[in-house]
Amino acid sequence: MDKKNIKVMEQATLINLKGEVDIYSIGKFRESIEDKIRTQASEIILDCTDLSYMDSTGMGVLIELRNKAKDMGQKIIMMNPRPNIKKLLNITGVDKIIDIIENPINQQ
Amino acid sequence: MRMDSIKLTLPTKPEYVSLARLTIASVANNMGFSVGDVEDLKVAVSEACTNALNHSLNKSDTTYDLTYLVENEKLVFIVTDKGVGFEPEAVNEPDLNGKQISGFGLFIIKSLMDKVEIVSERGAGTSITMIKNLSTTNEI
Repeated sequence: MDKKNIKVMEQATLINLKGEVDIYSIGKFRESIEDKIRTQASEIILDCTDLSYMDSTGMGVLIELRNKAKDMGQKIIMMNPRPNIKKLLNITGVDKIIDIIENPINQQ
Repeated sequence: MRMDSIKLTLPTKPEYVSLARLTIASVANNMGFSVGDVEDLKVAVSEACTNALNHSLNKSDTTYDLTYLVENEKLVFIVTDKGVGFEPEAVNEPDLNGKQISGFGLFIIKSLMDKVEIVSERGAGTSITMIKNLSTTNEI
């Protein structure tokens, strides 16, 4: 299988998010996801297992990138968000437009 | 009645918002707030600080104040900036599918706290007072 085939067959790409997303770290957060939207993966999975904190700054960028990804025919999925983050996704209704999945293998 | 007052003056720089989270977590833990409530308090203080920074128009030479009033059954905290001010009643509810993403912060604060009071004056600054009652249930 040559490199070209691998790229075409790429279905999902995984991004590990770590630490805290707030007004200070938001630039880096946005960049890491935007980079993946430029790839051909149909699903961009954000592994939130090690993400300890996120507030409205992060939600705003998530919504913006979700809309951008949608236009490109891609989907953003959040995997294993912690209860505090899940609560905010629920309050703001972001959980209605971004899929949330639990992956038991990845949970500690 | 116990009432301690703690005051912090922070530079209007993004890197210090985490300091507000650390201090409120410490104060709230000492008071006996549940793990979930501590997380909510961290979010509320962060949102208010982010608001203060945004209203200070990225001027890095200014400061804003954060006050904690530790009372018997509740934590009162106030974030006061000297920014441009705004009209709280003019803030629309966020629209997820549109371009109206701002306004999320205040919406979240109001959802998580027991009482919120916003006083803002154009050109003079904003003061957001938030109150969280110490829950008597043993929710974790």
